Amino acid sequence: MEQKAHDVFTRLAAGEEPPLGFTADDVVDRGRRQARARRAATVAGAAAGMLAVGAGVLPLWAFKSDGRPAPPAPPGATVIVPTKPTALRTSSSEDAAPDPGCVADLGRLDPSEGHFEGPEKTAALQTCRVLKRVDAVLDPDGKHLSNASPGFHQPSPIDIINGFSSSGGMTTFDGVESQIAWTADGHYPFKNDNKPDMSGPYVQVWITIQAAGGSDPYPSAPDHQINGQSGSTRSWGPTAVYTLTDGSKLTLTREQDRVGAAALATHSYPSGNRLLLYVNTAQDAGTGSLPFTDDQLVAAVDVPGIEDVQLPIDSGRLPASAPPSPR
Amino acid sequence: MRPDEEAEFRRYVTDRAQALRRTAHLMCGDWHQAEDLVQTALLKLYRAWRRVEHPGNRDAYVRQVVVRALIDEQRRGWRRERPFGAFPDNVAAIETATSTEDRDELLTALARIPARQRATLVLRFWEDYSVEQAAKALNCSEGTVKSQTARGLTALREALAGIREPSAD
Repeated sequence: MEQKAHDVFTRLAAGEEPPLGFTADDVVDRGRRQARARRAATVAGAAAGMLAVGAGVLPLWAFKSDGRPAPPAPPGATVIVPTKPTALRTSSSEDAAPDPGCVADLGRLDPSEGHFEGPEKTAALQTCRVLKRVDAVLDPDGKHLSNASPGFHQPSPIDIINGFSSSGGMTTFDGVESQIAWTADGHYPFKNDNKPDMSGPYVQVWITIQAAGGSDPYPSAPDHQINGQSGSTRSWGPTAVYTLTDGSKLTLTREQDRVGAAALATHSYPSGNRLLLYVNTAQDAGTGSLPFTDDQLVAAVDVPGIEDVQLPIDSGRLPASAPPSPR
Repeated sequence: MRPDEEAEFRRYVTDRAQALRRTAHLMCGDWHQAEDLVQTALLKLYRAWRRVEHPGNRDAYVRQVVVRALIDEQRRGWRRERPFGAFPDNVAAIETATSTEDRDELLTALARIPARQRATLVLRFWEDYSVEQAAKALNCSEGTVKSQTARGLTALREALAGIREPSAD
């Protein structure tokens, strides 16, 4: 099969190719411009930021807590919010039993495909119930969120992707990422072949459960989309920070411009595990806004149970399974 | 970058851009995306030129940027790994697949392989990377490369089984 793979690539590479759309000079010119821009930004960045804030020209985002607007803050600033939104629940221990829906979803997967065996199955079950809780907060009526996986309308164990890697004789569970979509009618905006099947604007919803030490999985700048292309390079708005009694920290930041919006809510647990919720608008054209309130986004990541989720070892390490040798 | 370094960079881009784009195309199946990926990688190489002194390391650096950017795009770009059912073994279908139509079918079949697995296969069996080299490019362990290779080959076999018998050229 290895030779066949080589043959496939050889035959594909032998086909006609479109001419290159760029030249070496183009790359050099862009490289020079970027270098100049970086130098200029380094020199002028701090002063420009202070001027912009002083002039009040940057859009400000007021974080609402208990219905009271917080003082405005400049984009990128950190706002410590002492009081919790009303929708925020107190993290506490809850039933750690696997969600019956998750168990059912897992049972529907074909074991012959080799998905979710051993530790992957364990981790999928443990994290799935957390995904379901996030889903319940964002879509309490169950009318708007849909899953990328055909037949799975809510986050499910099938959402465990790219969560495992091996190093030093151990398999490390880095986390779970769930990709779901919010639409007005609950219709998933893509077909099975990933071609658009939209009846209107949609919102991408990404939920990540991450073991301690994982790197940030989401863009460092807001990244809503227009026509499938990144629609923003602006910086995040101010970050609101809550500290809960158990030492957990909740943060929320968002960005809205005239064409789209994005928000990132994070729950960092004392163990180092994190629950991240990234949402961004995506539409063909027009103005996009998020259908979630600030309270909803914060409450969605205030999910009790990640501390209860027994990532197979606290650090997220799993005993390595012997990988099949290709050669 | 000094003028002599820029001249060397220009020569490198002129000599290698097409081949690098071909590899990127095998990984993603889209010429436009492949070109964007290679341009992005070349811009990074421009910035890192002095750090990537050895000429033999330049291709590896660009491929590494391409493959990581591609996988990152797959994660962020709303493309989704999907499980697919088993198909009968029919790998002989590729034997004479050379027409444009057949290549389109092969590309469609390859599109069903998850991005990371597909990139692993391209590095291993098109670029002839060793497991160690592929692990470095993919920023993962050698064990992961082996398992991704095995899964990718299985996925490839199944994906190829879904295409029709090729037409003769």
